[in-house]
Amino acid sequence: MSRTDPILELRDLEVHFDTFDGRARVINDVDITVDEGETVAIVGESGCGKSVTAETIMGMLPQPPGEIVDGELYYKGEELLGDQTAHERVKSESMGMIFQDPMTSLSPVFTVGEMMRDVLTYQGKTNVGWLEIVRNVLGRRDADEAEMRDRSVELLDQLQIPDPEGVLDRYPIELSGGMRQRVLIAMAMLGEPEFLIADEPTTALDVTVQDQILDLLTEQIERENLSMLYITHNLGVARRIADRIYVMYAGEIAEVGTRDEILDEPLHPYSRGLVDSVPKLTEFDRDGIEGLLPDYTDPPSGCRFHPRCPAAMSGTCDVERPPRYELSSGQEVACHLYEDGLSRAEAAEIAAEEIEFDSGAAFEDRPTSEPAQDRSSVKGESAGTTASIDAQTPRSAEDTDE
Amino acid sequence: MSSDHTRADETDSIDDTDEPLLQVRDLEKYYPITGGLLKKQIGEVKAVDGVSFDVRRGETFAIVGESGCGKTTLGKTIARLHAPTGGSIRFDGRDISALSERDLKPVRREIQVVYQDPTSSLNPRKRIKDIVAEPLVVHDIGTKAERRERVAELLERVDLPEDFLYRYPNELSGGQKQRVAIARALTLNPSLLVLDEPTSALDVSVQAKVIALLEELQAELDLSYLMITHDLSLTKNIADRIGVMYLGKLMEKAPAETLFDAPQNPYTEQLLSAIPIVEESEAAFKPERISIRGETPDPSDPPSGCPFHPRCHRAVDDCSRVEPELVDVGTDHVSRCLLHDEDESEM
Amino acid sequence: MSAIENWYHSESMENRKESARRIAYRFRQNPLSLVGLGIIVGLVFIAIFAPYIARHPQDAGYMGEPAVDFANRFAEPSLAHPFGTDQAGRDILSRVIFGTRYSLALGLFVLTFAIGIGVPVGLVAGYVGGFTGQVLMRITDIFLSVPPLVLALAVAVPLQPSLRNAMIAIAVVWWPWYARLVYGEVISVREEQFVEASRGIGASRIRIMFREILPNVLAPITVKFSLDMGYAILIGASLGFLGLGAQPPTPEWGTMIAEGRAYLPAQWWYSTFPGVAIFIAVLGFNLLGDGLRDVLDVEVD
Repeated sequence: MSRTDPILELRDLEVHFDTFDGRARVINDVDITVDEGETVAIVGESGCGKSVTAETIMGMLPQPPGEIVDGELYYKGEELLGDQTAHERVKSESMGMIFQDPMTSLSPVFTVGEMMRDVLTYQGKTNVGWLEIVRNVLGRRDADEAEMRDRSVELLDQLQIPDPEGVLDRYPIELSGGMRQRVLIAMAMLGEPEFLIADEPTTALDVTVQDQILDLLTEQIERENLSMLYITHNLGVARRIADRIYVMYAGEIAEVGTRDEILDEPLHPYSRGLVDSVPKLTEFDRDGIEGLLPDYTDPPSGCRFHPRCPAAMSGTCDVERPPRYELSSGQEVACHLYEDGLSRAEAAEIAAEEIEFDSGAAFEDRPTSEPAQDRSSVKGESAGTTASIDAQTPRSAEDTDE
Repeated sequence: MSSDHTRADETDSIDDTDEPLLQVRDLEKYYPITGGLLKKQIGEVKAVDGVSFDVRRGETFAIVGESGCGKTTLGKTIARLHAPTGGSIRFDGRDISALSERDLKPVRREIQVVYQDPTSSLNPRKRIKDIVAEPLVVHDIGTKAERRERVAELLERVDLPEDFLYRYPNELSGGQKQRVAIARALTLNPSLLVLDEPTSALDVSVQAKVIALLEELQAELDLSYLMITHDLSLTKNIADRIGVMYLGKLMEKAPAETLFDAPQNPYTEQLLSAIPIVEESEAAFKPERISIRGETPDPSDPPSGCPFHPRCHRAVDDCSRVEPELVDVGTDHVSRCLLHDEDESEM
Repeated sequence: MSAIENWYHSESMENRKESARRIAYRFRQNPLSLVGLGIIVGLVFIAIFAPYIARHPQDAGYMGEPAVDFANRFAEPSLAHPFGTDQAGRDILSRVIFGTRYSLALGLFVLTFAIGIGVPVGLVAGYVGGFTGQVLMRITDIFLSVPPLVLALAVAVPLQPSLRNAMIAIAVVWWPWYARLVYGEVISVREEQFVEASRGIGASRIRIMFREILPNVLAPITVKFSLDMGYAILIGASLGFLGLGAQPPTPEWGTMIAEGRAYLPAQWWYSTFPGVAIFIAVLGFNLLGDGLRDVLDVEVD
């Protein structure tokens, strides 16, 4: 790694899930680095493993059915995956999290003010006894109370919430979607984190509201010099917010590069197909990408993308897993079309020549190997799995495009 | 089937003087708000409030708006899944806004809806063949063998393999399910499809192919589309004309190109400005960055005057008092904004 | 078309095997439900082949009035009479075996009736709604507001005490529970878009209710059916015990317990074995119901 000072470094992560259909090898050898003050986006379609990666970093991966088979997570040089207490501590002291759906992250029975007060009271404490809770409920000092309130108001104000005093006394249900998301960001900021993890925080919002939230997030990050890992399926959002982008496919990193490298001239066939498929103000490519996400219990050999890849070379791509080739610009592509040390121009030429999605096949999103079987059709066997981990987890092919 | 003769229409535009397929005039759909023990009406939500537009034969008319703007209600009212509370819907020269369920039955053959979420719009307990054949059964068309043949033909038309006939929806991927939903909508050879966010539940690589399919079908089967969506970039690529809705009202209506090149309404400007672009090259097609504030207000208690004034970057004092009318601002281009009146008087 | 036929067979066989495998897997996760299933299968077998299993079918009134053998009255459990004999010298084991028939028949009748009335009521109330729905559900609520056994008693008392009237009494009590269950399910299924899609095609209300919605509410009905079989048998036995159901010398379990009560505790076997039979039957249906609830993944009550 040529970068100097990663605040967060994930190495060789491998996560498996036990499901009814067998062991799903979901995350396969994923490396992610976030430098100090940098915003990194992980983009990919549903089921690509981006949320599982985020959950692992947040220490929120449900285990079982999930299992971290291999990998290290360094936060400022401290390894966390092997040491749960350290993970908890770092999480509560330094990390803030923002989720997609504020309604499930905010408790409906407490007012915004009460929740923020609790965050302030208990932040950084990993082990709180009943006695302390009771004491806090019964005898909170007015001075502390006022101080916490001031701090909360200040934060809500920073997030451009009109009438912050009033909002503190309201319940989440009384707020609009955009306001809830702002409150959630404010709560993530309460602990004065250095590192934010955001999992699709604007997906449920309208574009005009999304625009405002993204502005606010950028503002906060600049003001506090935060680093952020931002998970999204929306490439436009990634462009707005990210410095660097990781493109994920089927639990592997397909390509890493700066925002402009990835979005303006993607090199990996998957990234290219993805970027081309997005409807744009200019035009878009109706060809999409053939096939479905592979079955994680039996992933393709070699490159996991090869069965859907228009540039796949038989004998190579189906046999040998491509390493991440590093171009001279620092961009990394896990694809056999390239080799280490190519210049961007050379790589772009190869991409233009080799990668051609076509609409020829009649049954385009027909599964390549076996028919999609919805594992959730008889619910329960992996009930814990599928239900709790959300749509990003490895059910199987059928989830690709939901 | 009517596949071949329409090919030519694609090129020579649709300006023949024939009547538009769908003419919507001053359409209203108000929902009562009831309260108290006696369920007395204490107010109403104007989900669709005086909307007028045409869908011409063979074109794609898109309704764009954010959540809560009434676009879905509009689509369903036009498909007569809801009864309008005012205004008229002329379909193929006939007012269908007040028809009874029985009289609607033949109309239903002509107007079909494709829903946003194919997981919810396909009955999980039915096989694909029964789902696609249902319209034939309901309308008592064809013998069993004929129906079977038609279903196989439709499945082929939407690029699904024949062996999907005997599957249940949960054995299909999202994109495949949406193709089944499209096949069902086509079973009775409709002339108008209401597409209610048909691809927003799909991943982009799948969305692209479904859009391609819809475009193909439109050309081949001479279909007209009323497409309801929140995705402006998508409409720019596929719509002929676009209407922008806000709080139940049409704010602006224009041919797609005009709308993107020269938006007249401040709300349209904000929507365009908020589009998160993917490629650098798109930036040229966006207006100057506008600082946006606020969210869509509660539709049951809309702002006075212009519904958009509290969030508008161009608002003037009068906006909170005077309700603007839709005015002509160009060829086939109308917009609802007080500033237009001023412009006009200045001119 | 033969290609399609072929596909049909291969596909459906494959799917059927697949779903059978899943169901088996779910059942295995919950071994007690397999015990329940075993009990039910056993009971049904016993009910069908009672004349061949029971050693003294004539004691249970098979092909005629129950036989009497006063010489043998109140024989203790022994090899000849494993459950002993009653005050008329009849073999209690044989009578318990035949009792299975009455209990299962009662349960089946009651629930068929209850489902036959309750499901359409719930469907109509849930889907059509409005005034009709309100009226139907308020009537349902009135029935639900009285404890079932009390209501069954109220219905049974004015009728001639007999097994048939007991069944009617219980059935009258039971349908509102199905109406309520189905109503709740329909309210949520109704909002699914496939219902609206069906309307958009031009389908009639009847078609939508029975062809679109009903198949989607069958799972909870099935589970409740299984759970309720036990309760229905219990209530049937209670009515029998109170003298409002099957009359002696009918070998109905509740009636037998009531008869034997007079001879407790000396002739303990008389009441005990029919009691155990009730216990096992109720347990079996409950365990199966619980298992089904897991397999079908539904909430009931």
